[in-house]
Amino acid sequence: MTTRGTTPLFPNLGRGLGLRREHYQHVVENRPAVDWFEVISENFMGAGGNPRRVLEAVRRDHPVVLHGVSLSIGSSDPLDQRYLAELDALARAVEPAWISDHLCWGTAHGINAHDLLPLPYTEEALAHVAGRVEMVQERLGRRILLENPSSYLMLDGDMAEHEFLAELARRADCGILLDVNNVFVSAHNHGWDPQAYLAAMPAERVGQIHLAGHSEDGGLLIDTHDGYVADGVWRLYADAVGRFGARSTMIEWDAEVPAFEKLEAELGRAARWEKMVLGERRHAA
Amino acid sequence: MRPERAPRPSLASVQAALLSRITGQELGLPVVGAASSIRSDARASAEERLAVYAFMYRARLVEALESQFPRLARLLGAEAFADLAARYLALWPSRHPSLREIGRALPPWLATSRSEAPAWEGLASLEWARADVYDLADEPAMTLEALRAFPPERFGELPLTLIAAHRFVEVDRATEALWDALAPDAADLAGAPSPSSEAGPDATLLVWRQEIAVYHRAVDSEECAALVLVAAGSRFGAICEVLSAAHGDEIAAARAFAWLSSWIADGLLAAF
Repeated sequence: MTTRGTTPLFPNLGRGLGLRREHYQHVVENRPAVDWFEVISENFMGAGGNPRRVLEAVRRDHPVVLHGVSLSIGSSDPLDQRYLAELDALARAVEPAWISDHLCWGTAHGINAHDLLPLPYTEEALAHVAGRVEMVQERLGRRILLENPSSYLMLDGDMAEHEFLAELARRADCGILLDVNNVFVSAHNHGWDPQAYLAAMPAERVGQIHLAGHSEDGGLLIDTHDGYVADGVWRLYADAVGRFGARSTMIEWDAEVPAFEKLEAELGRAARWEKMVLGERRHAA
Repeated sequence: MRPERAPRPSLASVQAALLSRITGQELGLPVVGAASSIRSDARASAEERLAVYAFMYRARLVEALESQFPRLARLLGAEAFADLAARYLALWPSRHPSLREIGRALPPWLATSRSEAPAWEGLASLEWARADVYDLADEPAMTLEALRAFPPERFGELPLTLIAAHRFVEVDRATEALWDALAPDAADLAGAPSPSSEAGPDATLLVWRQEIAVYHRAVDSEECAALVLVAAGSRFGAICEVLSAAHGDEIAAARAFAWLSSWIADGLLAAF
């Protein structure tokens, strides 16, 4: 099954990379032919110094999207209004194509674990998160995207993660950042069907795709972002492209960061998979 | 009749229980069994799955602290620094959305904790001050051109304000030498001086950012007093008056103009 004909809510920016400190100088000096960059919002919330200068320089040449890790949209703690104000100020300065964060929580009783902790997929949590997404979108004046996290534990709930995410996106009118590596990792860790996950996603709401490497620890896969995209993830990416069409796609590589050229080469593999899948579709048509 | 299933714990109580287990923090309320809501299977038990998060929590925060206190980490070694970080985090868990703030309480904690070595406070304070000014807001600095355009007859009224991206750090006298000895390109630590464990602070360092580079230097007590006046917002005439009372007009004028010149060259003064 494919979902040809659906109009995405977010423009296809092409293929991008995460902007990491190790590559600041290279990117500013060489202005590489990457379609767009994703930056971690929290790394640029300081109003000055080198990070902000780098971001301004990159923004002059490329579209940028903001990707946060601290919104804690699923937390029972109140939304952090100071954080939202800083995010809003950054967005006004950078004018990103969009803002994303994760379907997760990271704080309780004011203490921050700085992690992307999984929610119990219950009706209570769904109503709670949907209300908070609407508040955030109202505060930022724009539709946000939420990313499916990698998870290593699953809490008792009423529905599967993919059902929760799809219903949340519809109910709160937000977008989905589909991390294909996270689908692969979580499916392995919990015995989920990754195809059922993809099939449940409302295609028009999938605005961006993440790809990354993972590693194995005992019986679990860990989302380490420290290596090449695994073969199984590439196959799942091809399935996602087949279902959703071309979407803004990027590679995350955050540990043991290689030379920029290696990242560009990995991004080239994404381009080849996309071309192959969409080329086959055209032939079939 | 089947026994009724226990009611599912609320979202808030599940989160409190999980966070408590992952971070080791007591949250001051009865915690439901964190593992009771976690599904086990053949791949991993609930406890093993929780352990993944607990391990990553500690690793992530220790790494963040190491990035803010690289010289202290080098001085102590990886294992001792990780242990110190764990003791610190147990008392000062993160309460801010950004890891940028994680190290803010480390220097005062080192200074006041009876079980830690207060001698490392100077080095830690210097490292934190440098990290703290790294990404503060940019602001235009006073230039020589602006100074030359200021009417000479009103020079005493010249407004002086330090840029926001500055800090004063009181340190042990050995701190500067320790800083140099622990530089990333320093060959070994054999020559690193030992900080005094008995005396209080006996040197003041000024930390500031000019453009994108962060600097520090020692300031003597007289310049430090002048800079404190400038930090609060002062005028050139007020600095001259203080100097004049101690040294007479001629020396005061020479010294005040020398300071002004170096402060402008270092980008320390905000544009007026």
